[in-house]
This record gives sequence, C-alpha cells and structure tokens, in this order.
Amino acid sequence: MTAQNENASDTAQTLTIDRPSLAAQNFRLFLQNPGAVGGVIFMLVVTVSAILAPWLTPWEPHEIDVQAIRKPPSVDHWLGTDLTGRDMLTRILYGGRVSLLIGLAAVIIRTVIGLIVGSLSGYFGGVIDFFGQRIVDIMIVFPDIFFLLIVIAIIGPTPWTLLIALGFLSWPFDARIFRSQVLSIRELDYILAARSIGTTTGRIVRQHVTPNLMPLVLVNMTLNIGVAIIAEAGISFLGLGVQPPTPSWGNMITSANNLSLIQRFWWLWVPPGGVLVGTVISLNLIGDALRDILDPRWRAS
Amino acid sequence: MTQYIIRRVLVAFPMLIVITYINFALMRLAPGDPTLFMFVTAETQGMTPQQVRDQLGVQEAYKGRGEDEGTSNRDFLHERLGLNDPIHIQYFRWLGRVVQGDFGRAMRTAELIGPELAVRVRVTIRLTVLATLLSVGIGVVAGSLSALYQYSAFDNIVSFITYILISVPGFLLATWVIIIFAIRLGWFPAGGMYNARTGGDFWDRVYYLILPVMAMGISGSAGLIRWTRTSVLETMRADYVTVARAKGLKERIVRSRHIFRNALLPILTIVGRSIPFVIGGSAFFEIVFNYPGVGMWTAKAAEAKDFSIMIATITVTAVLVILSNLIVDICYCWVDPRVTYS
Repeated sequence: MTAQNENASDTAQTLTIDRPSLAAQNFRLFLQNPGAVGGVIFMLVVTVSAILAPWLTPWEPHEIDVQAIRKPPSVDHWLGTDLTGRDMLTRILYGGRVSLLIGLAAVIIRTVIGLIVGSLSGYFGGVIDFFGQRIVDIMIVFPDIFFLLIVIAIIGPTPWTLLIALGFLSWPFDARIFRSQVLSIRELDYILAARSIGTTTGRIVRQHVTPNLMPLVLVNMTLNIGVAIIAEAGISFLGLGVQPPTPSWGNMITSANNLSLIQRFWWLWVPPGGVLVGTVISLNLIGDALRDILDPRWRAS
Repeated sequence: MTQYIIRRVLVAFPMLIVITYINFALMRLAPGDPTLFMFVTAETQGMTPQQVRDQLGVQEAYKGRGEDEGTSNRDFLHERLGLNDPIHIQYFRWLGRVVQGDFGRAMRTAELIGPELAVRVRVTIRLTVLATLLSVGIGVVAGSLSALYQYSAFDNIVSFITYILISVPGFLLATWVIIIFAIRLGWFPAGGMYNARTGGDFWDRVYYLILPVMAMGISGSAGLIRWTRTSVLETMRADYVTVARAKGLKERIVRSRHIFRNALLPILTIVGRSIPFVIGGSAFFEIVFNYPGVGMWTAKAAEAKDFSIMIATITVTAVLVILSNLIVDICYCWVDPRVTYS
C-alpha cells in the first residue's frame, strides 16, 4: 500500500493498472490473520476426515467389543474405547458427520428464512414489515431451548428433527440483523439514484442490495454454525438430542459428563470435547476475521 | 415516561397471549391421549378401580386400562374435561384458571403444579439475577481493561479465554467447576440448595448458591466481555474524547466521565437481549448443580412428555422474560434521558 501511495504522485494510470482485485486484496488480508488461517486448516481437517470416516478407520461406529471396555488409547484404538468398547476415534469421525451436518443445515435453514423475512421487511416496509417484526419479536423473546424441548418432545428426537427445529427457531435473529442492514442499504445514495433513473426493483435487489448484504450473511453463517453445534450438545445433555447409538459430539460428551467418569477416563470426553471446542473456536476465528475484512467500518482501525 | 411504561405493559399482554397460545396449541397437537396418563398414573399409584373412578369422576364402571370399558371411560373423560372443544376455547378456559393461579395437576404424579411452580420460580430468579450481575461485573471489568490496554498481554489472554468460554458447552464447564471447587478443593458443596441434615439457614443457602452462580456467571460473561471491549474501543475514538483530552482534562476524568459513561450505558440493552438465553441456559446449571428451578423442571417434563408441567413452566418463563425486558427498558429510559420512546 505504501508503495502505491508513493507512486500516486506519478500518474493515476499506473495506480489503477497495478492494483490487485478486491477479492485478491481481501484474500491477502485473510492470510495475514494467523488465527483465521489456523481455523480454516482445522475445519478442513475435521470436515474432510468426517466425510472420509469409513475409509479412515477399520472400526464401525456401533461395533461393541466387550473385551475392550473403557480402554485407554492404544495402537489398536488410537483414542481408546468408550463405555461399551466402541472405538472413540471412529465415533468422533462419524459423530462429526452428524454434528457438522446439523450445524450446517440448521444455519442454511435459518439464513434462508431470515434473509427472506428480513429483506422483505427492510426493503418494502409497511404491513409486511409490521407483521414480520411482530413474529420476530415474539420468537426472540421466548427462550429457544424451551421451544426446542416442546418440539422435540412432540415429534421425537432424531437428527432431522433437531436440525429443522434449530433452523426454524433461530431465524428471527438473522431476520432482525438482515432487516436493519437492508434498511440502511436502501437509503444509500446510489440506490436512490438507480431508482430515480427507473431501474426495476428486481435489478436493484440483484445488483445493489445483494452484494452489500452478502458479507454480513457470510460472517453471520460462519458464526452461527458454531452456535448450532453447541446447541446440539446442550440438547443432547437434556436427553433430547441425537439418540445413542448414533454418535454426535454432543451426546459423546454428555455420556461422559458425570463426576466419576469425567475424572477417571479422560479419553471419554477430552477428544470429543476438544474437537467440538476446536471447531467452534475455528468458526469464530474465521467469522471474526471475515468481519474485520469485509466490513469497511472496521478496516479503519 | 409514565406513558411509555403504560404502553409497554399494554404491548406485553398480547405478546404473552400469543406465546402461550402457540405453546398450548402445540402441546394439544402432540400425539398421545392426555386422559390415558390419568389412568396410568392412578394405576401406578396402586389405586383400586373404585378409587380411580372416584378420583377421575368416571361414572361408568372402570375395570382397567386396555379393556373395552376403558374406551367409553375415556370418551366420558374427554367430554368432561372439554378435550373435544376447539383449541381456542380450551385455551381460554385454561387461561381463566391460570389467572387464578391454578395450573392444574402433573400428568404423571397427579400433584398440584401451582405450589411447586411458585417455589421453583423463586429459585430460578435468584440464580439468574445473581449470575447476570456476576456476568456483567466480569464483562465490564475485563472488557474495559482489554480495551484500555488493547493488544497487551492482558488483552490477548482475555480474548483467548473469551473464545474458550464461547465454545465450551455450559454443562461441561459446570461439571468442571464442581470437580475443582467441590471435589478436589472441597471448598463448596457439589450440589443442592441447602444442607439437608440441618435444614439450612440463610447463610447455608448462600453457601450452596456460590458455585452455581459462579459457573453460570462466568459462562455468560464471554459475550459481555467482547461487547464491552468493542464499545469502549469505539468510544475512545470518538471526537468528544479527543476534545476532552485536548482541553487538558486529566486522563482519569476523561476515562470515567467521557469514555466509560458513554460506552457502558448501552450494556443494559445487551443484558436485556440476553435474558431469554440466560433463563433458558439456567436449565443446564440447575441440572448439573441439582438446583431445582424452573429450567430443570421443564427439561425433566420434556423428557417425560408431561405437557401439563411444560405448559405451566413455559408460561411462567414467558412472563419472566417479558417482565425483565420491561424492567431493563424502563431502567434504560431512566439512566439515559436522551432515549425518547415515541
């Protein structure tokens, strides 16, 4: 940047030619953030190994071995075995599929609904806004976890119920954030200009509103995947999460979350807990870095 | 301001009605026959068919669940309890009783819900209020220091701890608080509300309250630390702070009067917004510390599918959240006269 500023006095032409694209600049900024890069690497390793689980481990996630119950890590079982002799590493890999899927799917659901409600509310205002916001108010005021408990108590605890319930209950938070963003975008001068020269609403939304909204959506999604993964763990703890024997990081931690087990058999909770905490921290580091880079108000600092 | 309070209270009522109506309707839609529970409950309590008939007011002969007579008894009960009426009529009938403090009986144990609810609500309020105060305390102190000494070792440590706190599930943190402070160090009891042997006086209850409040307060402080740090940093860059320094005010004065006062006031809004999470999250700490509040009861009722307890606890929770939001808004209006609610 300093080199460019020095050159600025020469000619304006060289400046425009030499300048890398915005995406390239942002990518370079992202690489300068060690936490975010570490987060991306961690997430890549976790995601890829969860997807490749059947090829990475010789064991089956439900394979019970009464000869090897609560065995510490060994050559055969790298992370030991659990209360019924199942291989911990295998269950963490398969559990990752469940936890990551719940996190991702719940976030996609909440983001899509949040975007629809939030942008309609923000862009059109009026009656749509009034009713949209009243629904949001009511849903935000009531503790999500209790809604979840009711829904799951009624429909029954399966991974699908969980991700759908998580997604459908948390969209109001997104709707509120997106609405206020759309409201401020709508008032920008170039939108007014576009409207004054007769640009259609569809085109304004596609060309001007969406690109301005996307950074916020991206940052929000990254952070919320972590929120959903933790929520899954919490619901597992309350007994209504993913039901055993299907593993999830949440129900693995829960099954060891007992004053005696947790002190005597560290490998029952440290590995699943570590992966869960690592995943959520990574997502937060990535999300924070994206926010710093994509939100120009923050770049000044 | 009085007008503002009145309007806020008036808005709160329809909100409460909608929330409870949705929950009520959801639970009525749940599969399973609520009257079946009554027969099962009565039988598991070892009542004779005669006693069951008397208690439930079934006039026809009741011989036992699963027999043909059971069906007609059920029809009779449905009619008598009004379960055949449209949901909104059932809802307003229920609302009429709730207003009088009658929450009905638990489906499985057939015990009155009202009295236990009253005790548990007080427990949860005590826990959540104290934990919130602790969270705010930690958040303000750690967040402000982090901002004043931005990029220092302290700031880095705090931000590291914040990341951990955001990522560790509350129940895991609570379990470790018990292991460290109750089991390893033996400073505090591992759970419960008071010493069951002595009955527990005031100080005994305080003693039992320390660990759950600590765990819950620390767990909830992460968001507030982050928010405070950002807010203070933003305020430090404000023009009026530069002006205050330029006109030669002492740094201490600039910090206390210009930075903190302006940066920290909006924390009330953040606290208000976090109330549903705090009350919902209270369930985890109540369970781990065996501290019997509303959250724990809701979770247990959900597991047992006891919808009559659930609708009671959920109604009370909704009232609690709406009330505390109201209090927060009024406080904010009071401390920050710039805020005008029109």
